[in-house]
Amino acid sequence: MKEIAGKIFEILQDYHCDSPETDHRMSIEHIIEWANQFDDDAEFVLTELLYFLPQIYISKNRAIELLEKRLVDFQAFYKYSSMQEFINNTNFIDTQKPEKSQKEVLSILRNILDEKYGINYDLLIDQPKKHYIYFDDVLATGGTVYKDLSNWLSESTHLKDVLSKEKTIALSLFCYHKLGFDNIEWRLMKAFDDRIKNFLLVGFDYKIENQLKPKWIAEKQALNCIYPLEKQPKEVLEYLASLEGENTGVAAFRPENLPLKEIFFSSPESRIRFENIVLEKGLELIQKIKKADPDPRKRPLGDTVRSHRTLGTGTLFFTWRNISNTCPVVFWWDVPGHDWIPLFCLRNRGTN
Amino acid sequence: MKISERTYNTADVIAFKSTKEEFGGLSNMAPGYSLRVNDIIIPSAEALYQVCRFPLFPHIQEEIISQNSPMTAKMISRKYHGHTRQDWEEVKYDIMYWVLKVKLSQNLEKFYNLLQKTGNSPIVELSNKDKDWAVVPEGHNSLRGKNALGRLLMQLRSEYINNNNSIDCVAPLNINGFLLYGSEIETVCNPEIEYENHFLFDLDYA
Repeated sequence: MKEIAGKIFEILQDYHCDSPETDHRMSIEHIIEWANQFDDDAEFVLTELLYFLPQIYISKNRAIELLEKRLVDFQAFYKYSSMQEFINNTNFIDTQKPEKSQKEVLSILRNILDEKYGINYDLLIDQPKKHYIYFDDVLATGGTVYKDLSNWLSESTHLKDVLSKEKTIALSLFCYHKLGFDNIEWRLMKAFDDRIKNFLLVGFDYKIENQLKPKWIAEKQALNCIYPLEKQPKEVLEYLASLEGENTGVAAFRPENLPLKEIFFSSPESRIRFENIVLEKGLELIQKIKKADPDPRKRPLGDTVRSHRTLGTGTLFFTWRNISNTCPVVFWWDVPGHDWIPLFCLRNRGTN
Repeated sequence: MKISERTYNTADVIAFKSTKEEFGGLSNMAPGYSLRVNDIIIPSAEALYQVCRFPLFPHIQEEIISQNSPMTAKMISRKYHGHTRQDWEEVKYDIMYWVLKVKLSQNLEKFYNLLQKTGNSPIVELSNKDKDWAVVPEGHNSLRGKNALGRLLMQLRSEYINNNNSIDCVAPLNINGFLLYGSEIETVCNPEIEYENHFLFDLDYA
């Protein structure tokens, strides 16, 4: 098991490596300690995690590579012959609070521009701009991105300028959930103009395909997330029945035949086993909450919108700087008295 | 639903032909009235109507939905008329009325105001040759045709504008094989209801 944990550590070793706020450090021992909480399933959990982890972990170095490429792609898309000329005309939308992910992504971009191209982005901020780009790391339900894009489109003449092609708007993400992005697109169309769909350029590196309807779309989804089958112990089914959410538009369970082809886990059988382990442990943790008014968004497979009657979002995607609370709670639950060591420590997020 | 031909006096009607005219928004070809059914964004009422012809052929539905232009969507549909559901002639007016209800529910303010502006006048779609969905000129100051679209729009106006019934959500038609991309079409709602009642953007994280 130590060998597997060692390989996982090689991938995760920079998690929070640059955070001054925590003394947590990823280590082989820490990974084993986390896995041992799954008792007899410890080695299996690590083996399976190692199988898909390289696809879903963005180290800081990988983030730099991806952002370098994104800048070059945008420059080419907007047909500038040099990065200097492109940046002269480009504004990186900067709206999130200091502790949020956008600030960190923008800081990396500034460094890339400075070190690779000798461009000081901040000196160019007051120049007239044609291109506006919203950078972030992960889009789950899309609430933050929708709010910020919506505010931007409402400002000044931005909407009119985008529709008349005087300005451009783009979104850059390491990862997005298909369902969350579709909700943003639809909401922007309804709040502003149907044509916005054709003008919002989206650059992304990884897509979580979690749409289970309609059937024909669902059959094309990789389901590269945790989405368990309905065959569950009565504790799970009772928990699900106890949820107050009334919206059953998003299914709690995947059909047995999906995904049609397993390309994310090592085998269909391993998917079922991993999903059920994560669900069972996650439910144990959620049921340790003793508050009279627990947050209805907290679910065993990760936070989700309160109206959904599901077991959680089930995101499997991590970056060096943080873990999304939409990931299964076994990865990040860190509540005093709950007797659980998370694989990833949290930053800037409250606990229960 | 059976509809027979009628004659209209040109001077009495609210007519639309081009989508750019004052009442062009009544046309199924009008841009700016997007719809979403079963989580799939559909660019126009025309595209949704055409999609319903081919419930067993998701790839045809996709080809239609992927067209931004409603006219192109209709042309794509024509290519595949051999794949049309067998009972199309019996159900097409019911399907069109359902499409119009979805259009109203999901574009409430804009479409409601436009329908309200037609007052109590007869609504007709003008055409050079289509006497089924529209009317064609016939003699001096006279229009003739089944005017099916216009009559369904008048029915919609009566039910939801004049009688002020709520149209927050629209239930699917109770017909066999009412499918989009292989799944039964579900109840669709006004996006405001969908987003606010269901808190779809309820999370904010690092």
